[in-house]
Amino acid sequence: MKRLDVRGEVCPMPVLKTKKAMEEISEGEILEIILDYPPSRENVRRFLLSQGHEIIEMVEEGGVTRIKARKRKEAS
Amino acid sequence: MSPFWVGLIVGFGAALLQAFFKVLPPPAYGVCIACHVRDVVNWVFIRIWPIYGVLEGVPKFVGADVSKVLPVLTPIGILVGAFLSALVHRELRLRSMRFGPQRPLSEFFIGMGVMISALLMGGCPLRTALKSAYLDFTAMIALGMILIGVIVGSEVLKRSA
Amino acid sequence: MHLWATFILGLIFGWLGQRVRFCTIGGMRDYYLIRDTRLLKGLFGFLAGAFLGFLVLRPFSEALKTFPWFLNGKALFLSKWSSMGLQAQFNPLLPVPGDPISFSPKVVAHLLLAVIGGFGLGFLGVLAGGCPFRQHVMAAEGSISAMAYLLGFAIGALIFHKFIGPFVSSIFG
Repeated sequence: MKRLDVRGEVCPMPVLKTKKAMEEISEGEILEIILDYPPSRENVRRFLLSQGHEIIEMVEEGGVTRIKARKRKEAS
Repeated sequence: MSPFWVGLIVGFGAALLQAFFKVLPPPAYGVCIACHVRDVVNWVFIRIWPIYGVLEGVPKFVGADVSKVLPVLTPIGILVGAFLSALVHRELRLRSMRFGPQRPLSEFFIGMGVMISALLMGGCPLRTALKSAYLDFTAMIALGMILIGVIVGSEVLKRSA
Repeated sequence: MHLWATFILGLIFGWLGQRVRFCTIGGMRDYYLIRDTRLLKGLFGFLAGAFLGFLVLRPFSEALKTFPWFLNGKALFLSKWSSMGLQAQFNPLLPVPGDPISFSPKVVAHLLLAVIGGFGLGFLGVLAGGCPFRQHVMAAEGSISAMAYLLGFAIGALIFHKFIGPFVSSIFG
């Protein structure tokens, strides 16, 4: 499982890094994103969904959000 | 609550302000982040240091209707409104960004650059949109240029992600 | 009193903008980078609202009389009053709504400034992470970077009027 920590970063960095990380891992692999910026939370979530990735878990504690998403199968 | 409606309300509000509240010369002045900040700053500054105003003749035209009365209070309203909203929804947090251009020092200079660019161009993105709605050709071109600038800047951001 | 009207509009704008993360530059950026139109719709809403406002309120107000002058097929440039920095000074050489469309050197210089300024604003703005409005909201949320931005912003206004304004004016007239 790959972990991406973007705490302290503002839009658009979290989404951009998420995009890049997603491209780098293989399908079926899980990416965990840790962020703490409220607008990015929404941004990243919507980005992942729009790309067809599966969001396994989204946990929020004390202002920090962890999102676990699994990379979808590429259209073949 | 979608940004679209917020935009609609504020856009309409800006037109309203121009129509009935005489936030007027220059036309299309209802909302502008850059200009209004500039007005507030000038107003305060001239009171502290009147010679400054005379030397460079700032209260020439926009300044004129602005430096007699307390000028447009939009930026203050925005700060207060946003603060209250963040307070109520518990999103207040003191934070400092890590990322390169977004460190406080560089942000300072970027802020300066943005204001200067805005003044050269004649508005902030919002007011340029307002002027475009007012069917000002220069504004539409300016809006397009903003878009191009954004695209170039985004590419830079992309490289550094 | 226009004072309070602007304050109230600012209040509303600040509140709603904070909730919804309104940002014009952000809209363009998000669309370009990840095809996300959420913020962009905010910009469109603004354009629509303003346009509608102008249209609807025109009969009622003196101040909007210059509104759709293209209907007379005349000057398309929001002339003398158009901008705030440089061209805020009354400049008799710029066209007025109602004049025939012309491309005199003044007008072209005017356009050039718009092009340069526009590009600068887009480029720097997106690096900073938002349009000036968004920076206000972030500063209100507690972002120190945004506060630094606002400081630079305000000082930029002073610098502009003191040094750059007259300088550029002397080049372009």
